[in-house]
Amino acid sequence: MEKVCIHNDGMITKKGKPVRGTALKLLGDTIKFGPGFTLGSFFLAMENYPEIKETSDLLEPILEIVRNAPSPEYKTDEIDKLIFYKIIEIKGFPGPPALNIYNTLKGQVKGQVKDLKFFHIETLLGHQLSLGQLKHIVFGDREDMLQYDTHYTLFELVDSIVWELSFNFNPLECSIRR
Amino acid sequence: MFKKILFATTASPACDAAAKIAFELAEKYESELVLFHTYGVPSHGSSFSVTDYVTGEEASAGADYIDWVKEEMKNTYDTLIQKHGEPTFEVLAGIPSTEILRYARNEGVDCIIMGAHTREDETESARFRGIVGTTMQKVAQRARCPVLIISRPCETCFWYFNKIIFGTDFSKASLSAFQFAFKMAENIGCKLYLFHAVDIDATQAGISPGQKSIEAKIKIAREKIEKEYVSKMGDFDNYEIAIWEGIPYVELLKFTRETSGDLVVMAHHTREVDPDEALLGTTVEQVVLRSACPVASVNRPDKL
Repeated sequence: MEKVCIHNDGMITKKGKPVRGTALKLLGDTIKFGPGFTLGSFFLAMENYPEIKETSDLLEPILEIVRNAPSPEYKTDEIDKLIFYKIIEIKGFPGPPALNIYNTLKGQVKGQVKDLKFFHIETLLGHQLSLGQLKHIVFGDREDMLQYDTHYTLFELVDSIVWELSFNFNPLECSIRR
Repeated sequence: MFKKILFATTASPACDAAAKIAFELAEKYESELVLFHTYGVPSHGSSFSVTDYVTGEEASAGADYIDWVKEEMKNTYDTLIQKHGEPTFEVLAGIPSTEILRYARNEGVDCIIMGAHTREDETESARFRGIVGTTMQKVAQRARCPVLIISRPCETCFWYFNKIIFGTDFSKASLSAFQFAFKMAENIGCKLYLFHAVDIDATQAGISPGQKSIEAKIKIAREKIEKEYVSKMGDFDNYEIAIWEGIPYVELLKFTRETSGDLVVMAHHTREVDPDEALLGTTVEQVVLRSACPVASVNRPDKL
């Protein structure tokens, strides 16, 4: 699979050359991040390649929030960095057996994962974003979790970040963390 | 406002946010609060054993077991009980959605409160599958009274409650939702937003609507809101009409964020079908999943 690099200024490069024009044909390509890549860089890439917005109803409303943010560098003290990773979860009793595969975006603080749903998007933009290992959770037991190296496509990144942040439409006055 | 509130709980942390609001709401409106829990599925025949939902093990469902479950619930909600007073405990065996609906109907419950998900460990993957808990879906679909769905902790909601957002698609069920929203706003003396989103998702039509046709639709929607809702509000003037265009659930979430709404009130489904047959409308489901504030789902006028 072809690999593209997304840089901290939102520019996408392929084989070392900047991609001009549509990025739709890159959606299936695997990705890596350039140095200093933040969540804000991700949204800069979405602005640089506007046709990607067509992949989700929620991307434009989230971009509106980002455009109105006081600073693209803002960071909350409550997390150290952001991590994007894939989960394979096998579930059994109670309930019918099921296997779910999905990507998620989480905060990380002192090595511990922290859910982002109570944070405002504005406060996450300056945090470094990195790609994590795939986590394989066996029968819902997070103690029994295996981790593997894997790859992510541009589509997975866009789709899953938008999905995760779509839970963060909290009014600014509402700042509950717990 | 509510004489009897039923709080349907699994007594697990997944219901903590809903528990807080249930206790506060009951104290505020001096309502009788019933903490309702179903503990398992009865086995066949006349046996007294049940399959416990939590442990998955067979248990003898005698009086001792029920007392033990009640005691466990008391311990779980001890802090809230100390603060707001002792509720009534109802513990039954059976399928949760069926028992909740049966109890609510027989006992004349005015409002059902529940979390969007029933199991904490399901929340993450359930969110990725884009669904809400099935018990919640079934209850919201069939209940005769308003169902208040709380998926997140909320400090400001209800107690200091000052903005209600009523989202309408002008369906018959929306009229019941309006009656609830209006009654609540009038009772509390807070602001009521009458919100409609003109659906301009053109993916099915194949063509994008022009500015002119959107403006015409907005004008029609405003006239409908004035005719169907404003005309029924009498002297109440603390309201605002808002009509946005876009994808309904996205616009409703954006509007709620912008106005810092405390409560979203909607009808269960978006089409003119028998409420018993209707699936939970996509808009309601998407809003419930993502809303930072509670969502009241109202389908019938019976208990308004």
